[in-house]
Amino acid sequence: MRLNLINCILIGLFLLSGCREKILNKAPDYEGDKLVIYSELNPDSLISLSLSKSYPVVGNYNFDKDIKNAAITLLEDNLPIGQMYYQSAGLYKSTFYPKIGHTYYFRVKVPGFPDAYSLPVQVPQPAKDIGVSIGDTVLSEFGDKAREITVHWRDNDESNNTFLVILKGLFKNKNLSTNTFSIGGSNTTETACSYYRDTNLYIYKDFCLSDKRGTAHFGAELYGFLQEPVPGDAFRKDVDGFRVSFYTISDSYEKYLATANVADELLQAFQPPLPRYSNIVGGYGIVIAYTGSQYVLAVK
Amino acid sequence: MKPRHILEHRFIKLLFILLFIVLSNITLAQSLQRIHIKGFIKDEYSGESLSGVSIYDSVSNEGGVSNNTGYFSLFIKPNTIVAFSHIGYRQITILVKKDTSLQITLTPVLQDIKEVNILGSSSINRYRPGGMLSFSTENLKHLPVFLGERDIIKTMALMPGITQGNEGTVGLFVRGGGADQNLFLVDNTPVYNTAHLFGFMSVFNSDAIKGVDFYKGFFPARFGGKLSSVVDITMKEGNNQSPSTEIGIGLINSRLLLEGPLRLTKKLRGSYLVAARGAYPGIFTLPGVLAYKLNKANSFFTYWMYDVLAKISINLTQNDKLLLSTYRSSDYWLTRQKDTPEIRYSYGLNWGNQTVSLRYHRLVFTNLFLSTNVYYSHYTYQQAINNAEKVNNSFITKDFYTIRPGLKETGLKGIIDYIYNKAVTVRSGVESIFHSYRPTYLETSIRTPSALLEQMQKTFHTPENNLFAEIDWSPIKYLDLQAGYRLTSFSRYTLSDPRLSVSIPFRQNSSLKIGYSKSSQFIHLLSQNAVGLPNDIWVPSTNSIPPQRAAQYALSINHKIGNSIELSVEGYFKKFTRQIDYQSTTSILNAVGQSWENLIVQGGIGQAYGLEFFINKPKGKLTGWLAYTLAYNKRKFDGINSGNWYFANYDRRHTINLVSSYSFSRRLHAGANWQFYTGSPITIPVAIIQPVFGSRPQFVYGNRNNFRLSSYHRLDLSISWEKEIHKRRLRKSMWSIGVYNAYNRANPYYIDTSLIYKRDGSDPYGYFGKVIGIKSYLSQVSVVPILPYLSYEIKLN
Repeated sequence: MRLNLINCILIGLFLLSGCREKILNKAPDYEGDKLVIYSELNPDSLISLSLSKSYPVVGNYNFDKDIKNAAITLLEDNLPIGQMYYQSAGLYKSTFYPKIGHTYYFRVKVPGFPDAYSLPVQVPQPAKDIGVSIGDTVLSEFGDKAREITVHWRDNDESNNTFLVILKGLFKNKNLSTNTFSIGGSNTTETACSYYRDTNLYIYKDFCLSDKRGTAHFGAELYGFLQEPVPGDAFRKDVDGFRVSFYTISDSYEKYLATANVADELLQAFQPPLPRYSNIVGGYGIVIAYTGSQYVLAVK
Repeated sequence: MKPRHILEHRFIKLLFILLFIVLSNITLAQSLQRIHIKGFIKDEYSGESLSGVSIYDSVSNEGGVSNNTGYFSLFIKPNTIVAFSHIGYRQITILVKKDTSLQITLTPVLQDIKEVNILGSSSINRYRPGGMLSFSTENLKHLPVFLGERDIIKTMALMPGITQGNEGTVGLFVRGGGADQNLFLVDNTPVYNTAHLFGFMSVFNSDAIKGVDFYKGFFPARFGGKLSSVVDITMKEGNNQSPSTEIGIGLINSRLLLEGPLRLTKKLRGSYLVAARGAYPGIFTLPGVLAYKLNKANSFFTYWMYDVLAKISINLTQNDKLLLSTYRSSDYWLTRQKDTPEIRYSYGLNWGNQTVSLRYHRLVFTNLFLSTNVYYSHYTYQQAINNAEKVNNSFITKDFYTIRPGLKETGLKGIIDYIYNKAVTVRSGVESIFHSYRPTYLETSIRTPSALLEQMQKTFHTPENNLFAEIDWSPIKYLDLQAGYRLTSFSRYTLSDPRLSVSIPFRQNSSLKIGYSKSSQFIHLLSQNAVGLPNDIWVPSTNSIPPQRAAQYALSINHKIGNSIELSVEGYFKKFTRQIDYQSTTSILNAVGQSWENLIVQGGIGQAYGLEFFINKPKGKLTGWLAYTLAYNKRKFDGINSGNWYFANYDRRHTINLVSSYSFSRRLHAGANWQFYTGSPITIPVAIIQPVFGSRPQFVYGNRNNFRLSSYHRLDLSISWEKEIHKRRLRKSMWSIGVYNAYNRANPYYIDTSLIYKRDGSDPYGYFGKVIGIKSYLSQVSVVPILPYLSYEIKLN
């Protein structure tokens, strides 16, 4: 069903003329190195933060600068609760678990970089009565065999919740990149109620739920490709299970997903830019929060 | 009411009071020593009425212009030699001694290479407001063109203050305005989509165009609804002397024009005209279609387009005329692909305009003229994606997704022209329009909540009512005033647009012109691309999205050297308010269930200012012009660029257009155009950040439009050879050969950003593994190389 209009036009133009591509020697002035902050807040994990730097848009370089000398303060509900410590490869850890309903942010200082801090992010209330089940064999749009997976849940009483479903194929407990598709829902388009990102990621808004209950049906193909291949082993594997993650996600996580540009590169060329949502001031990156669980379904 | 509005109303009131006080004294006194001449002006060969003809006292240069039915009415001194002058026609002079009714016929100057006018500019005509241009398509045929197709829109883009979007496309950007801010009128009926062939060709058939008046500065009050320009296109009425046929054959497009006299009864006579064009690039892809049908190919695409204009003009009496015209244009694209022998998908795209117009003109008294127009205009666009499965040897649709946005408009317009005396002409009228907007009409097999589907299929109906009045007044020899006022009611909005143009002729051939125009736009174009794609979605102003507004101030100095060189310098300053823009890349076409009002950023402001220099040589063997524009165009939105000013899309600092045509003989002509403009600003990422979530590095975007494409320049050349097949019957043929982009300049179409990942080697095949670095570069993509063309036209009378 996906078709790129621009491609069609350019094919037509090719018939009449032909495209020419020339590498440019100029680029916008680089604004200087800035700090890049990533953190996921999940009540099941100690709070951690990944710190790196930005790079010029044109060039040839390696991501080899490890920032070890950062002073990072963690704040809970606007009160400092501790310093983060360097662990390895840009990763900083704390001794705190985030609590549901509380807000967190970071202040980061590194010599030679502008100071950066994140905006407060609240850890959302989890959904209730979550159920995940595997159903019959169905065919994907490409004619491949797939299994139907159903997820149902009940919204908590908080308003404006957003739910995220991530589907992954498994082979001996290793992640596979597996094609998935929504059954009866949207696979290529956005709606006010739901949208789709990155082949295995589905987002739902609570205000579209009927009686606060949500149900989503998916198809997941029965083969996939190893995401961490083992030398000498084949990429393609038959799925022996699926990992289904169901989360209630923070507003920042939803905005981060929503601003992923899913258009291909050619189409992007004709669009106004879509700045990826960031809640970092003075730098780049994102701090997100979620609550939920992962479920493993065996394929027999 | 805000203080600014109070001042505005007081200004208008004061202006009109002043006008009438002075009118009743000065101009009445002047008219006492005058005689009255009136009549119609026509083309000698076709009998077409001629509008915009300058009629003036050849000594004092005082006079006026004919209206759009060719009628004129003037008060002049007795025993005056009156000159009748029009672009593309030989000037004539007549000695008038007393009150006279005249039937003037002007002869086209195609036979006389010494007097070929290409363009009528406001610079020499004191009665035209500043920034107004008139075009005659007949004399543009010796200029180089794209794919052999003359295009009035592309010719306009060669004027100062006007730029185009992407290469070859027909979107016009006038003095900082957007492509949606131009009012295109065809026989007084608005047309919303101007693009054929994905924007490479306009929908206006040059063969059928009689003339075009283009306003980019001062807009007369009878025009409204758009902010930046008015393109008033008058189509031919048809030859009422003898039947005529014109045929043009090109490589991928052809055209036909039929016209002739119409005799309904002995007394009831008129003329007809049918003009049609078609383009058929799909003929080259026909083998692919056949291969697909025979299961020897997995995919095909095809494309066709056409437009047809039909017009009947009937002279009910000497003073009454009825004109009925209809126009239809359509473009059609289809791609079909088989994923497997049992599953196929198709993608269809078609768009088009349809208009119907019934006009009635009546000369009520010698100094009172009535024009009425009832019209209907419909623009529609459809995009359909369809999945089908083979069941019992036939394909059954399984999934579909179709959107059909559109716009319909039914209008009634009445104008009265009253020529009070030699110095004063008053024009006033009303216009009522009923708009129907369908921003998105969705039909899909995708399970969508019924409430949302209902919202997506909603049509908005909005009435619009306008009152307008204009006055042309020459109180003294060295002053001409045109003042106007337009009052519009649209939905809950009532807006007033005052207009004023002052022309001060000095010395023999010079004039100073000052213009002020305020304008309002009640509909907005939501289009995300810049390549002329037809995914135009027009949406109305609503309770939460107020109408766009603009105010423009312009000042020009015009001078004519001798009989053949015109010079003008014009400065302008334009302020935009209540502008809108998309806030994300979410396309309204795909935003199922979302209100389009949530997809835009509003409350933007803008500024555009610049200086335009123009040298025109309209007569002689060598004709043409040089236009240079220095321009600045900025926008500011709270939600974009951190609320700071940024250069707007298509802000081009320098624009140069050099247009020339040389006639070696009556038969042989050569043309050359050279265009240069500063590259337009685009947005390029400012940094790259290494991956943490996911596996790919990401671009970081900073300020809007932070980078400029390289400059655009291009040379086009042409040679045309005309031959008289039958001299007595005026049968002619013309061969044209030319080349577009003669020195094969790789002009920028878009910028591509490329990333090559360096991985850590954990994957021996190189596809996976951790990204440890990148190599990135920007590349410029160009799509139109050197393009030769050949075309043949034949005119049969």
